[in-house]
Amino acid sequence: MHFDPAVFFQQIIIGILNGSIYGLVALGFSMIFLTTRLINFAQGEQLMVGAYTYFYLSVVLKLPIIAALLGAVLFSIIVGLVVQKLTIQVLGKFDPNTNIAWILTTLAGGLIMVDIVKYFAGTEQKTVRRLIEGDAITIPGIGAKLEAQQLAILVGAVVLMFALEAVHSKTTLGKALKAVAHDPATASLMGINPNFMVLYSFGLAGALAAIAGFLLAPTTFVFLSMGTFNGLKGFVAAVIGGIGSTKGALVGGLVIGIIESLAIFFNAADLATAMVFFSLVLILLIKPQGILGEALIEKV
Amino acid sequence: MSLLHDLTKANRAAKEERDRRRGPQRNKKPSDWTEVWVPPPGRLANLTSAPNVTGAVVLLLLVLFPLGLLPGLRPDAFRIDTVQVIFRYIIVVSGLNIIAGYTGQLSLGQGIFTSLGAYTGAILTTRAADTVFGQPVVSFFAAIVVGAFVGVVLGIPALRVKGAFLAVVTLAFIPIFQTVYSFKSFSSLFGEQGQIKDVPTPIANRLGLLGYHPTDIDWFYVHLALVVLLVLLARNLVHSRVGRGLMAIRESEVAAKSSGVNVTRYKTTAFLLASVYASIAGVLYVHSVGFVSPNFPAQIPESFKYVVMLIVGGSGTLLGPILGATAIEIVTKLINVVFESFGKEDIAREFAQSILGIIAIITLATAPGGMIGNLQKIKRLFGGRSNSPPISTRPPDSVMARPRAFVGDKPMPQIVLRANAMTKSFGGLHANDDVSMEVIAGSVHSLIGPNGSGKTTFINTVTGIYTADRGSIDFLDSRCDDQPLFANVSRGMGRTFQNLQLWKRMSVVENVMVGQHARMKSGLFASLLRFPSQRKEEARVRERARGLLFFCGIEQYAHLPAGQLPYGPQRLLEIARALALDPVLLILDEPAAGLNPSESAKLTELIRQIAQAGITVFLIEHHMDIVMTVSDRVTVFDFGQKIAEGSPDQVQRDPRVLEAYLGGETKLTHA
Repeated sequence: MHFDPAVFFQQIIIGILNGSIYGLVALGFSMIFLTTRLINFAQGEQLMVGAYTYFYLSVVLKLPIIAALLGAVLFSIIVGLVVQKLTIQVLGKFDPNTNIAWILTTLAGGLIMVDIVKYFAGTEQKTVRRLIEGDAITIPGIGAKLEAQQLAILVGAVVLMFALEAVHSKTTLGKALKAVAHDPATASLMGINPNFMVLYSFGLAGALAAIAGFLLAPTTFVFLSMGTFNGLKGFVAAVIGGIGSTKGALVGGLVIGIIESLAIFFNAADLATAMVFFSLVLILLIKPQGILGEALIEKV
Repeated sequence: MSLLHDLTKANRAAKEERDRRRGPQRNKKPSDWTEVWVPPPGRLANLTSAPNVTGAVVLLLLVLFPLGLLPGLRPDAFRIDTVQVIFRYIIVVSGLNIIAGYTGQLSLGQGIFTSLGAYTGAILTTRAADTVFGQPVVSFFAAIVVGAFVGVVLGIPALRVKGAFLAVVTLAFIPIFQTVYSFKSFSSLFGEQGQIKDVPTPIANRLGLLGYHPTDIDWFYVHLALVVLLVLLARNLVHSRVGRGLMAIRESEVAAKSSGVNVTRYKTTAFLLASVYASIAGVLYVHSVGFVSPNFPAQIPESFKYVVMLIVGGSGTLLGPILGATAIEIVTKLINVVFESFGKEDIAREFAQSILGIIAIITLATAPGGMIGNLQKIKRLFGGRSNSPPISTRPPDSVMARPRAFVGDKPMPQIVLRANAMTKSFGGLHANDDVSMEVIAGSVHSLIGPNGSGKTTFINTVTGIYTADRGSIDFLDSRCDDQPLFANVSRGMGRTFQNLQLWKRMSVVENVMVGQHARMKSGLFASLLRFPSQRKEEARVRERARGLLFFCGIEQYAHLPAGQLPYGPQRLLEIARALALDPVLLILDEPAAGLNPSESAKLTELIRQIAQAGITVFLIEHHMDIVMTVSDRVTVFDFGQKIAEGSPDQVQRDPRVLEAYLGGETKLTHA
């Protein structure tokens, strides 16, 4: 096979781009995991709902992009809170480690979302317009092209992640979040309301899912199974990076994005998704706590 | 003696208070990667402990036969088909029950294995129709082999994680398989876009064996026979050494290891069985509908449906899969009929998975034990009898082995346990620092020391949960700290846990039966098929378990779930369970914690009797009266180091020991 550096770097750029979006989804998983020790199996479907909401607001109602984005984020936050109420809270008080009924209820929530969206929007793919019009610039030296829209996606995703990390490491809110992550009982003795923190994490994860859906929509269309696939990829990214870690989410996302791109570059596009999931199996075999996660010693 | 005695009292009281407060329920440390799938409470343990096969068969006949075939009633293709679908679901869900319900490892990827069975059957009977492999019976067994093989290949990596992580990994396998089935290069095998049409079915009359073509009624009986066979096999498994090992893994993995259960192999075996069950259903499926594609049954909603059926029926019970599969299938059909009568059948179809999802959420939120859990509640409400066998009041002949001079065929060495300059650190902290000691065969050797002095770390290193950083520990003259726990256990190392690790939802007698795991021989096939040797072994093991309960004075609880026992008997049960493996060395980790004085006195007597039976006892304890009464030798730890060793008298007079218990600055004028 002829190696064309321009095509290669073009693929890498796309990989980084998609990777930053997977990173957002991974961050959503991490946020919820931090406060509740749960994995929200409906997270991917929230991304799909976010993308469809954005499509509806921007294409059908013809709202400006920013308004449509805000609307989608708002709606997704509400969906996140509803998911928490209907799939987690109904189970009552339980220990997420020993009773994992929530796996099934959140999964059920996701399946219900797919049915509802399918009913209202049908099964055909939707197209949204580009975020930013503009000519692609050619990166000097390597010959790969970068579109304005791609740059916007990348900058948007990375800035958002660093902003969140800054908020969570500098503010009382962030400290409260960490306190709840460590020990909700002790945190409530300190005057922190763990329920609020749980709702906050579900709302934030919902917002992140909508933003990820919004960023993905112009490049990959809007379709029903986008939630399952991107949700699983985001989860793989979270595990690879180390679940619970913000930096890990970004690193894991980039790893996944680049694996996919390499698969496409080497003409194995069909296998790209399979390879991503296979990398999940690999990381669990080699380093189950992820790249930036901490090893846990089992205490007896 | 009693300075040391008094001094440790405060220490002990604090600890006991903590133990009591925590109670038996709260001793599991939540940790991110160690969660287990536990079927929600709400059912009685004796459902798993009492064979209930008659119930299963009667239920099958009563509920399903009228739907499908009734003598005199003309068989109706629609009803036969519905019942066959239910039968196939019962098979898959019974398999899923083995891995998720009994072993506690939730798999969300069972659709993969159904599809493997379907593809194997389809490929062999269409592509190799003229060869011997194209014969339905051969392709049936080929599907079993494929299911088993892929089950092991996927199970080994996936089962390294638990709980939600296992669920996602198995879920993530589904898209991988969908991709492989529809992969262009494989189209000669899996068909164009992974679709294989025209698979022989009885209806199309091409599914033949040696020139005989079964009718659809014959095909129904094939289904029925397989359901009965597979449900029976699952039942046999549950009431066997292997099945109890699986349940022990679900309830407490570390305790299962400490009874000699090879956890990794058992989990893989359960995963394999679940795969095989699903593959069998897959072969039946493909020859019933004549078509398979990458989208079905290797599909997330379909795999989810299996789990919902299990939950609705009652996870971890034998009847659960039968009830659940039947109920879900009938309810979905009914919902379709209702919507159809309003002329809105498309809505029922569109929202099929939502309906399942809502059923799952409602079940888990309101009746986590499923239908079986509720049946049990109703039964209790009406004062239903328990179906446990009555316990005899006659004390058994001595169950304790005689004083022994041999281990296997080798003479018992003088030193049972030897630590050679052993160090174990966590981060910078030396939990055990350069510890050397010897435990003499037949003695009662106690290890004491203030809280945090490294006693439990020492035991964990002895049993192989940790490996020494420097130095080593030898058990019966060969190194043990670098061996897996179950291997040490099968060589004769029994232990109890400071924070009780009983299998709470198994009965007391079953707990002791699992304790004999390492001393039993029946393997998977003997268990599934109930060989005569296996039945004899079961009877012997049950009898010995009963004897051990007598020996420890807790026989009256034999059929209660272990989690329902009072605190003291739970501690004694831990000892009975450890004795069950007929240990050379019995390690007791704070057996008296939380016991009242009369229970403590009983315990002292029990330890004496154990020692008289020739079992070397290694005791960790804060109750100095027990330690000083029963011990031949006492070793004292402080800050991870051995600071004293000798007879109880010597140790009590040792100034370093008193200092360790009192603190460095105190002058001693006493004792």
